[in-house]
Amino acid sequence: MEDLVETMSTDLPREVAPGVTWMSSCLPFHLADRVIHGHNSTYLVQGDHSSILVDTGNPSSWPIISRTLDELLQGEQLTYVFPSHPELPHTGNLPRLVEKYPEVQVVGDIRDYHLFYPQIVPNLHARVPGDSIDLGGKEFVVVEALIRDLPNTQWGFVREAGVLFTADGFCYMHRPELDDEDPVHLPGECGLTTGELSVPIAVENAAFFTGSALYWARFANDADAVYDRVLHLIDELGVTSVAPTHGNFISNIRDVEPIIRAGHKRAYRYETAQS
Amino acid sequence: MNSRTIQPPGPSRTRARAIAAAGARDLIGDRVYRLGADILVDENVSWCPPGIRTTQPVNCYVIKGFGGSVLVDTGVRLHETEILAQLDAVLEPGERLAVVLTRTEMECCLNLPAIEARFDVESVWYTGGITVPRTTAEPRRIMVNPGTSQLVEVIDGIKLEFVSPLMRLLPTLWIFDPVSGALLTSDAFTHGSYRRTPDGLGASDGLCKFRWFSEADTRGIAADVESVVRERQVTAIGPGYGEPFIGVAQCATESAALAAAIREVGVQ
Ligand SMILES: [Zn+2]
Ligand SMILES: [Zn+2]
Repeated sequence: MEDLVETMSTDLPREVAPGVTWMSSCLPFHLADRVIHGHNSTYLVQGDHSSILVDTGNPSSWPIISRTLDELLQGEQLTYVFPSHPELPHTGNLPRLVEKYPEVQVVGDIRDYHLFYPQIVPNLHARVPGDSIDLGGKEFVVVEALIRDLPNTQWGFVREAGVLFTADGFCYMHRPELDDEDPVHLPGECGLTTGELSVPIAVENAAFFTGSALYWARFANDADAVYDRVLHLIDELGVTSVAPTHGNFISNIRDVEPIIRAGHKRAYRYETAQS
Repeated sequence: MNSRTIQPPGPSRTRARAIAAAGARDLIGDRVYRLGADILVDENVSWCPPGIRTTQPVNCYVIKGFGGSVLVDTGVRLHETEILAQLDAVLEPGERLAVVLTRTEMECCLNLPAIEARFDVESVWYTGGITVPRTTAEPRRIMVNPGTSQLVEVIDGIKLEFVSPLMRLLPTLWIFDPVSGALLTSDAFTHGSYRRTPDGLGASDGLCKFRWFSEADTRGIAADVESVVRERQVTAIGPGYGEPFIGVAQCATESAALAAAIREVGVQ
């Protein structure tokens, strides 16, 4: 199971919207009684003259991420990295990225990073919601995170591609159980968009992620308020697809949103063995 | 026999001087030491209450036993040098160490590689779904239901109670040492370095990270904070950041104040 972290589905990396490449090493997520399989995605957005990496992947996935960046950037330097929030699966490769690309600018809500990674302080550049970063023919806009765990979380949006990057928002487990005998990434699963999956996402898989990663959803009966705000944002920005860190790339957001919303509702008062 | 009479042999006077010189402080006698250093808390720190600019210790703790010790959290990377020196002073040469992470968040686990490289770390205990950056130490993942606890022999001779609090964001453990009465509370009870009054007012300053409380029914969370302290003979509360609280009466006052602040901010 641990070798999951060194591998990427053979379907990936793939371009999921113009200039937006999805890479993901699936990670084992350990529960009290079993291990499940979930995405830990990283997205590269490339414009005419600059590029931005959205989330860094988990430290254990560095070799595959580094190799994939070499292929995608073809000798160019990475210009920006946008860590959505300071947790290892989202931020853990920042020191290695700065070592590999010494000029890279780390942009976003960079509070606390000077305590965690003193060696990257010169690369840190604070950005607030509404700020935009020019990539050449494409802009990456920082957006307030409407669904989050840590307070210093941000989302991002690339208008020209219609893609909203939502960190821990819109996440779900793509396969609830994995037997030891199963191949780690089933063909036609890890690297497919939600529009391509043969079966729609199960509400249970969304509830599961929400109840464990977004623990507050167990106490706050606010799913409708939260997702109404998200839908408003989707309309306002003109979002056509959603790129979560832990879940398949969502190409049919209007179909998927009600499932995630229902999962969030089910997470309220959710009490199970998993913490 | 009263478990409180079981104490590891205290440090020699020379060692005590070395411990103090390295900047480690005793939380409870020679059983629990507080390691780490101060940071500036201002608008560059996400848990800073509005309008505050002050220094605050970021803490990790060593619980000393006979045959080995337990390190609870590893401090921030900014303090790596200080923490390694403090561990040098507090631990006997070659002493075995178990590490317990209260959360797998950045201020808890990032010095793990440096500590593993220098000391004999036999195991790393942690909770939650993600992996931690350890190399050779045995990973000991433990799942405790929120609102309950488990007694665990973490290293030969040291049994600690792993408390899973309802007050949390990501999966969190509070660590209770029944021998000394120390309760190590991770990202809770962090208001000790802000504006404080003797009756515990100011506890709400420790809630900045828990903005979700304002959308939630917090009564159960508040009751849990109070009962965790009330049901144990808590003699000191050691947070992951902020000044600790010492003494049974003070701990009771602070837990009542924190519970009141949690109730007040929630919807019911
Ligand atoms: Zn995440
Ligand atoms: Zn997979």
